[in-house]
Amino acid sequence: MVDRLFPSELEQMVLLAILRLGQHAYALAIIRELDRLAGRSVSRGALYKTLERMEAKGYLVWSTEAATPDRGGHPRRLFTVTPMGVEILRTSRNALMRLWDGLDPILGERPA
Amino acid sequence: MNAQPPALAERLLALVLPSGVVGDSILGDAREEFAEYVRRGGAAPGLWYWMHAVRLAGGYVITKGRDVEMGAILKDLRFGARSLMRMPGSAAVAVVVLAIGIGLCSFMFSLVYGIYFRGMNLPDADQVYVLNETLVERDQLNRQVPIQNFLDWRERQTSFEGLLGLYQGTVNVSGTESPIRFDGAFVTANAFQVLGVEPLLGRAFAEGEDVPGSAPNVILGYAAWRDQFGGDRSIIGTDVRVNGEPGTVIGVMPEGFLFPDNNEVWVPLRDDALANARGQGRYLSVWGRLRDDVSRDQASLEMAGIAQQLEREYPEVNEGIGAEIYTPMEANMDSTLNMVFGAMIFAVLCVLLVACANVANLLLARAAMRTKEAGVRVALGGSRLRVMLPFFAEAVVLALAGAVIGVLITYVAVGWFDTVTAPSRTGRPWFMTFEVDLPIMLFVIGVSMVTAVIAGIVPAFQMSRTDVNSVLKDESRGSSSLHGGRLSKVLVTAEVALSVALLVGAGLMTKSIVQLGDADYPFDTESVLTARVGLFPADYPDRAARQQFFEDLQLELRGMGEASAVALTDRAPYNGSSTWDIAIDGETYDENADYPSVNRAVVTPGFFAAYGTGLQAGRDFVQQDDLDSEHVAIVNQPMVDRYFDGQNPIGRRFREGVSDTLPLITVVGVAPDLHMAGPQIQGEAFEPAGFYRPLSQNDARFMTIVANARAGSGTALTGDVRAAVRRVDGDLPIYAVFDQTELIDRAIWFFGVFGTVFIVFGLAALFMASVGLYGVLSFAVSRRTQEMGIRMALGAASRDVIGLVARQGAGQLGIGLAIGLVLAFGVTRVVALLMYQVDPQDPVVFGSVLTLIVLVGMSAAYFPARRATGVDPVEALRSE
Repeated sequence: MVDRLFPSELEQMVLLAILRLGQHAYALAIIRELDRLAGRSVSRGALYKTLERMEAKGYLVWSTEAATPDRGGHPRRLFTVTPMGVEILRTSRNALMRLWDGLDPILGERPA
Repeated sequence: MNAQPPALAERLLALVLPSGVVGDSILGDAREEFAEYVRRGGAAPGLWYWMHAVRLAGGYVITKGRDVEMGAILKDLRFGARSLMRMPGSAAVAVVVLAIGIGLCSFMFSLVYGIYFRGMNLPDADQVYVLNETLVERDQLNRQVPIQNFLDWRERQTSFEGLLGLYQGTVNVSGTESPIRFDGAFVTANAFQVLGVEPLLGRAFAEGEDVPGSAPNVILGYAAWRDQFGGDRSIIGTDVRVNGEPGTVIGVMPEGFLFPDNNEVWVPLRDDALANARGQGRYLSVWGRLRDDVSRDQASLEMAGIAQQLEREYPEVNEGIGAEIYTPMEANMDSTLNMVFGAMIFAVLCVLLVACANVANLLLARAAMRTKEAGVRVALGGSRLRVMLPFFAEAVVLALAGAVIGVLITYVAVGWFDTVTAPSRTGRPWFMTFEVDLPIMLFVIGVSMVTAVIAGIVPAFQMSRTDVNSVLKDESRGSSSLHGGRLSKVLVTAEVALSVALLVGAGLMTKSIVQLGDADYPFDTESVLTARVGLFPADYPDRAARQQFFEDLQLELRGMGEASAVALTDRAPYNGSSTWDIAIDGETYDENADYPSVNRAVVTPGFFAAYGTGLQAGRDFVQQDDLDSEHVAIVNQPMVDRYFDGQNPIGRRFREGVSDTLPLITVVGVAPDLHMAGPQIQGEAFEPAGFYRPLSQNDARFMTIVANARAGSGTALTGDVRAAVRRVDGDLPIYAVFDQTELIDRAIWFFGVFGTVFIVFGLAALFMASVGLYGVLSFAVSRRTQEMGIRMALGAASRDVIGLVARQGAGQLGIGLAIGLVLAFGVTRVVALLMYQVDPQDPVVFGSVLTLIVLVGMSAAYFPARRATGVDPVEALRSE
């Protein structure tokens, strides 16, 4: 069953970034993606914590990729969004869409 | 090749992260970012990684699973600060109290740190030791070392990288402009190498430069070079006369180097050890640098072994002589000073404790008002920690504010102390400096945190024990029955006790200082000039030459129109003392210890006139008292009282020393007490008795010129005296030029400085105790407003209500006074060491302190009591 509570804004952003990155979703790539697309700079500590939290909630899982010399022999974790994670994103999006509905005259893009 | 991040930073970061793959992968990410930073050519990658690691760890820890808790702690701190701001009065008092406690404590720490821990300003100073001979059976643990033994030590020992020997003495440097006199040290050529200090300019002494017959080359201290030679770099290589012999200036030492004892110049020690029999000739101070691979114990053992060999080889001079090594600090501080500092640390800790007790009390009072808030928190399931935190937070906020002001207090106090104990004034060792630097600041931070914990723990703990049921049911009356009430009373009682002890100490000190300021000297001081002059063997090789010089000098001095009387002495009052064992003719002495040990000074005719006293009986010395005539002495009044039973001693005879073969000396005059032994220190054997001998029947190289000005201050005679000396010998400088008042000041500064410190401690304690008493009583009154109102409504008179409050105050005051008196008697034993002619059990001081505390205590109780009587019954009953 999907958690009744909505994911936090940061959680949503992180989940979306992981989905966009596909096979290459590891922490630093997520940070870069958030910075590039959302203009949001996330502290490393907060990101790792958020990832741990969402893993505990079952929104995502991870697997390891072999170490590279750049990483001093340390593995890299690649994150994947679980079906539950996708579901919660969808719930959240639907709720937001409903809330947005009919507000275009106020909030929509300005005509050119 | 890949750049590596700092290993320590990485290891520390790993500690914070979870173990296993998760943590590992995070470290990997950090590595990757580091590698990228390096690739981009970022500056200082090591530093960058450190900052990155700190940020990462910080972010990670703060959000670590209980981000709620962390946020709440910050919120508590902010809440604490805000709720304190709502009661600015009591918060300000608490801050001032803490500031005084922290400030005085840090001040004291600065002194202790400067004296005991900062160490000498030498490379690897903790390897530098002082080596002394010991003669345990006579309780002598720091004897200097005869030069012959020093050479044997140096040859046989293996524990030290090197041993240096030295003696201190006057060094006259002439041949540049006018002759200049320095406090010098005569050192073995290896001295600077052993100490590990290089000259700033020129060179250190070379090997072999200290053999007999070599030139007295001189190395200047920085201040000597700057002040006397204008900082002229070309001084190196200049030919000068050093104590009358030709030598060369070969080096200048760096600023601040004044080894070993605020010395200004260094000359090679050129004594011929073989010129004298063992045990005769020069005695040296010996210093060594311990080798890295040798422990202090090993070195002690080796030196003891060498001393034993020497004892076997030369039993006639080395019997019972051992060897011991000391740190410079151990060698410098005697047990009296250690005790004084021990007492001061005790005093300052008392002040800090009182400060903590006060703030704890304040917080307890506030806690009691907020029992209900705590009760609600507990009822809602708040953990013990969460209930305690807000109260703790207040203590932390108060301590931080106190620390800021405390640092200012420390800064001012340390600056003052550094100035009043300047080496030039007090002979404080050159390496003891008092300043507020990093270690001191760390101490302040530490002590503030401890303060916060001590002050915060009681109220916080009290609150966490809140009984939800009774608190929530029992409205305001419940809180007045809080245990905190009893605890506060105990704290206040303790404060009163500590204040009594400190104030008695402070009172005795005050009296001692007043005594110093008012001291009535039985001789002229302001109008008397004293100045030293010293002769060197090179210029004045025998007694006859020296006698001739001093006779000529007296003639010249008598020609000064501005002086009413002039004389010479080897020891002016308050300028050191020397005691001699004497044997009075006609008395018998069973043991060595029975011989009177009295002060002795050598003077010329007119000495007593120069101090404006004259003689009480008999005659002054005359020029005809020479080696061929009867040996004569003038004794002082204390000696007449103690050793001649107060009878007229003129014509009585005694010997200088205990041997029967010594010539008998006849007493020809009686002088008043001219304080031959200097300041009288309580708790030490003090012998005011003494006698004077004529210079014409003695020999001396160093004498003090004493001249009494006809009008005005003695120092006005300085120019005339200098000119008179120059007329006899153009190469001789005068030095240590003071009027007698200054000479006395230099002997007794110690009492004034430490007395002032003690008084400040005492006043701080009094202030705190009164704040504490006032706080507790006024809180008690405010808690009992309702009760007071009812009593008044039922017809109680004002004085009944005042009595009610006063009784509570009087009880605490009484118990505190009783305990304090017991403490005070302990304190006086130590304080006695610092006192100048004051009885440690002085009834006036004890009485005044008790009266003062009772007065302060009663007024602290009176105001809250008055407030209680002003209560309007209607208001009171309405108040919650």
